[in-house]
Amino acid sequence: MFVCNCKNVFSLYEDQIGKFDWKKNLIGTVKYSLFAKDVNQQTVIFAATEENVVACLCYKSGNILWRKILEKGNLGRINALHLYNKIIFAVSGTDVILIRGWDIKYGYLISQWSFQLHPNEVFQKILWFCSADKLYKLFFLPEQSPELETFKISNGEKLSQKNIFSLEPVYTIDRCAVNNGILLCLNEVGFATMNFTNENFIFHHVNFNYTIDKQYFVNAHTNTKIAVFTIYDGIEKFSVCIDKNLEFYKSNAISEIGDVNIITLSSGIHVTITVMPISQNILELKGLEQHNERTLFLRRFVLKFPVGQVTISAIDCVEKVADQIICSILVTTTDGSVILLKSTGELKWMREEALANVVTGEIIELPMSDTEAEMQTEFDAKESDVMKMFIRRISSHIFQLQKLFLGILGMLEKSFSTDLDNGSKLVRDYFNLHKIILVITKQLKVYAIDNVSKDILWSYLIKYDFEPFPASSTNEIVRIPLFIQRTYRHYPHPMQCTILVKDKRTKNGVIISFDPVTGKFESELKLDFKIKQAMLLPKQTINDYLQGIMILKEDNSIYVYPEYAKTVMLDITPNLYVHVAEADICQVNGYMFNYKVNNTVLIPAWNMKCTGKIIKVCGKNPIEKVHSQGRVLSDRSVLYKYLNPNLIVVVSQSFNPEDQKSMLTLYFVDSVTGVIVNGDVRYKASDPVHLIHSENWVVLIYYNDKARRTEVVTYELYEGKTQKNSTETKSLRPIVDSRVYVLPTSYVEAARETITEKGITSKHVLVALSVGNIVELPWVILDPRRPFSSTNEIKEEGVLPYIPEIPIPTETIINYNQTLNRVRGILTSPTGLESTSFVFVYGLDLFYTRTAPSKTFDLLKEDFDYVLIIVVLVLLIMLTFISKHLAYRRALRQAWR
Amino acid sequence: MANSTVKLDENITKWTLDFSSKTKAEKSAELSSPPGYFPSIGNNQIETIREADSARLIIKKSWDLALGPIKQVPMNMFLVYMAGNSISIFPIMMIGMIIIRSVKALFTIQQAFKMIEGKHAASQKIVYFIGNIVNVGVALYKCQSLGLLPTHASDWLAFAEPQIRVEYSGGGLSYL
Repeated sequence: MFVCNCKNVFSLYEDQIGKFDWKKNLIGTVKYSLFAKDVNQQTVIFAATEENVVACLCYKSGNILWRKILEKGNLGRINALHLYNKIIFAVSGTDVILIRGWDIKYGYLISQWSFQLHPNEVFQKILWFCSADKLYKLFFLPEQSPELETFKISNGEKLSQKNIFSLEPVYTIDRCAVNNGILLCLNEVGFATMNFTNENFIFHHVNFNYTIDKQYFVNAHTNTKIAVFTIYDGIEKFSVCIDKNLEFYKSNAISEIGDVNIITLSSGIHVTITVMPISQNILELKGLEQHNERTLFLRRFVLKFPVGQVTISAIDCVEKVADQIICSILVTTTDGSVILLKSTGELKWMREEALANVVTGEIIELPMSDTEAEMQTEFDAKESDVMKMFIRRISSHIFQLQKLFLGILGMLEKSFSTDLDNGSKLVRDYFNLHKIILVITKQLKVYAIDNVSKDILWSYLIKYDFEPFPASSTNEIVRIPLFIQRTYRHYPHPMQCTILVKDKRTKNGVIISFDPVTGKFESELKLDFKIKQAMLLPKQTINDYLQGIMILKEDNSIYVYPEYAKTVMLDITPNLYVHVAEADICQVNGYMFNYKVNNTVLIPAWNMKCTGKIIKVCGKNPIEKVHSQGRVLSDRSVLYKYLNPNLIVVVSQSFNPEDQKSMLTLYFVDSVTGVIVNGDVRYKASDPVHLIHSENWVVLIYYNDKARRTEVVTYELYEGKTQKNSTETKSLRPIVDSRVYVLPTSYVEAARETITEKGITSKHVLVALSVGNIVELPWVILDPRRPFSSTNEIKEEGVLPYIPEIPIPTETIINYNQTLNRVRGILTSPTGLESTSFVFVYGLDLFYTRTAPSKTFDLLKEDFDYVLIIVVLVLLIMLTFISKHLAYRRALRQAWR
Repeated sequence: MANSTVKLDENITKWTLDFSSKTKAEKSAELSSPPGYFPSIGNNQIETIREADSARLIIKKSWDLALGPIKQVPMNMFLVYMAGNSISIFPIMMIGMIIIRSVKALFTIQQAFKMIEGKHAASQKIVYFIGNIVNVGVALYKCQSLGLLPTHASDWLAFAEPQIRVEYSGGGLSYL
C-alpha cells in the first residue's frame, strides 16, 4: 500500500514535460543518402545509416521528419537505399535479406518481403543495386564467376534467372562497385566496366595510366543520373563517370581528405564538384565545367564544429537557365557529421551524428564565478601569518568591489547590446544544477553539452591518426579511458580532463589533456610504449592540485603523468595497489609497488584464475559517499554494511558442458589482498550482462537462456551486528544475502545506479530496456533481504515480502513516452541538492533528465503557493497592528469612564 | 464585672441567680457569664492544646508535602498504563507532563525544602526527592516501552563516522 502510494509521486505532471529533461534524436553516421521530392513537391533527404536507421530529413532545417530503426547489428545492416514510385526501399540484412518499403511522406510500411541467402553466400560480399522497380543482386564467390539475380523490388518476384558471366580473375570483389546498372572493377592496370541492365554481359576494359599502390577503394555514388565512381588509390582520389555506352570521363585527382563527384548537365557537359576541407572548420566547395575548365562556383563555408575527412553523399542540381546551376550537396564526414551545402554559398544545416556513437562521458561541475572563487582562495590560503591574512582580506574586498562596479557597467553595456557572452554564463548556480555533459564518441570527437539548454558548447576532433582502445565486452563499442585530473575547486587553476587513446600505426599510448569548460586542448603527449592499464592517483600534487595518472606499461613498469606527480605517488606507494584483468586468459593479477626513489617497481601481490572469459570487472564509483554505516533491523540492532572500497566484482562467462548453455561466475575480490570474499555461479545465463556495484550491494542483470527471460540477481554484503573496525576499512569475510528477481521485459540495454552528493538519499537502479524505456527501480524492490514469509518483525523493518516479478508501473518510467532507442549507457551525477541526481542516457538518442529517488525533500513543491503565503502573512501582520491600535483605544476609553 | 457578681452571691449559694437587684451601674455593665462557664479556664486549655499540636502539625504538613510526589505515582502509573504503547499525541503529552512536573519539582527542590521543617525534615526531604525520582522513572519507563529512548545501537547509527580509506586500488580490464 505504502509502496503504491510512494510511486505515484515519481510520475511527472503533464505540464512538466520537457521542463527538466530533453531528448536529442539522432540517426547515426550516414551511409547512403538521396534527395527526393515528396508529394507536395518539397525536397526531402533520405538517409540510411551505419546505425541501421532509415530517416527522412527536412531539407530546410535538417530535422528528422520520420525515421525507422531497423534491427540491431548485422541483422539490420542496410545494403541499399532506393526510391521508386513514392516509396523508399531499404535492403537490409546479411543472412536473411529484408526488403522494406515505406511511404515517403509519413513513413508507414508499405511493402516487405524477404529471402534467405544460400549458406555459402553469407559473409561474402554481395553488391546490391536498384534501378527503377528492379533489385539486382550481384554475387561473387571466390574464384568463380559472378552471378546476377533480378527481383521486382516491391514484391520480390523473380524477374530473371541466375545469370552467370565471366570476370577475369585479376578482379576481386573488394575492388568492384556498382552504380546505375554499371559494374566497375579495378585492378592494377586499369578497370573493367560492364552495363548489366542490357543483359549482354560484356566487359569493357580500360587501361589507365596511373599506379595503384597499396590501397584500392572504389565507391559508388547513389542518386546520380549517370554512373559515378570515386576511386582512391591510396594517395589521391578521383571520380569517374561512365555512361550507358561505357564511355567514361575522369575528373581531376584531389587529395584524400576531400571528395570529388561529377554531374552531367542536360547539355551533356560534365561538371566536377569537389568539396575540400581547408581546415577543420572551413570547407571549400568548387564546381568546375569539364570542357572549358570554367569555374561555375567556388564557395567557402565556415563550420561551427570541426570535421574530419569529407565525402560527398548526395548531390541534387537544378538547372535554372543555361550555364546556371544550383546544387545542394550533402556532405558526410569521417567524424559522422552531416552537412548540407548549397552552391549559392549557403550552409543549410549541420547535424552532429557522432553523438549517436558516444562511448564514454562525464557530467562535469562548472567552475565557480570569479567572486566566489576569490572567496574560496581566501579561505584556502596556506599561510597563517596574521598580517598576510589581513592583506588578503582587504585585497579580496577591493576585488569584490571592483567586480561589483564592473558588473554594473556590464549591465549597462548589456542593455545596449543584446548578444550574450557564452563564456561568462558558464558558472555554477546556487544548487549546482547547471553542469556540462562531456561526451567522447567512437570517432574520437569530444563534445561538451550544456545540460540545461542541450546546446553543444564546443566540440573537438582528435587527430585522425589516433584510435580508441578495443572493447572488452559485447555491450561496448570501444573503450576510451577518461579521467578528471583537476576539479573546479582549485581556482585559478583550470579544470583538467585527460583521455587516453592510442596511435593507429604504432599502437603506442597517447595522452590528451584538455579543459572541459573552454574546450582548450593543452597537450597531446605521445608515449613510446603501449598502455596496459591506468588509474587516477588518489592524492593531488602540492603546487597545482593535479591528480596524477599512473600508467601501467606493457612490460609492467610504470609511468606517471604528469612526471612531477611521481613524488606524490612515492608518498602513497605503501598503500597503493593495482590490478589488471586479462579477459581472454581469464586471469586477474594484483600488484603492489616497491618504494624506490628513482625507480618504482611492481611486485606481483596476488593472482586469480578463472575459467572462460572475463566480461566485467567492476569497482565502486570513487566519488560515491555512503551516509549510513548500517541497516536497522526490526529488533533495533544494527547490521553493519561491508563497505570495502577496494572490493571489485569480476564476472566471467564460460560454457557449461552439462546443459550446453553459457554460465556466469561472479567473484567478489578484495583488490588489495586478492581474497575472494564471496562468489556465485549463475547457470544458463547469457548476454546481455550488466553489472552495478555500489555501496554494499551488487546487481547483476542477465538473460536466462532456459526460461527466456531477463533475471536480476542482487547481493548485499554485511559485516554483521558489530563493526570489527569502526575507523578504518579492512577486508573481512562478509555476510552475503542474495535474491533473484525476474524483470518482466525484453532485453536490458544498460543499467546504472543513481548517485547523490552525500549519499543520504536512497539509491535507485536505472534500467534501460530494449523497448526504449528507462525504468527506475527502488532498492526496496530489489532488496536481497526480502523474506519468503511475511512476519511482523519483517514488516517493522520495512522489507516487502519476496515476489519474484519486479513490477514495472508506468510511473517509474522516467522518460515517459519518449522512446529511447539502442541505449548504450547511462551516466549519473550528483547535484548540489541532496535529493536530486542527474541522469544522462546515451545511445542512438541522447536523453537527459533528473530524478529524485527519495522525492524532492529539500525543495518546495512546484505548485507551492507563494502568493497565498505572502497574502496570509501580510494580513496577519496588519491584523496584529490594527488590533493593537484598537485595544489601545479601548483601554483609553475605559480609563476615562 | 462578672467576677464581682459571682463574689457577691458566693455566700448564698453557688447556683442562685439574682435577677432583681440591679443597679444602674450594674445594668450598664456587661452580662455575666452563664453558669458553668469560666472563660479563664477554657482559655487556658486551648492554649496548651495549640502549643502541643503545632509541632505535630508541622510534621504532618511536611509529610503531606513530602509524600505528594509518591502519592501521584499510582495515578501516573495508571494513566501511563491506560495510554497504551502507540506513539500518539496524548501519551506523549502525558509523559511530557509527568517528566516536566517532576523535573521542575526537582529543580525547585530548595524552595520545597524551605517549607519542610520539624524533626523529620531529613527523611521527608529524602522521601520528597525519591518521590519525584520515581515519577521521572515511571515516565522514562514509559518512554522506554514506547521506544523513545536511544538505548539501541541503531539509535546512534546516524552519528557513526564513515570509515577511513587506508589502501587505494585501481585497475580493470587490460587495454592491450
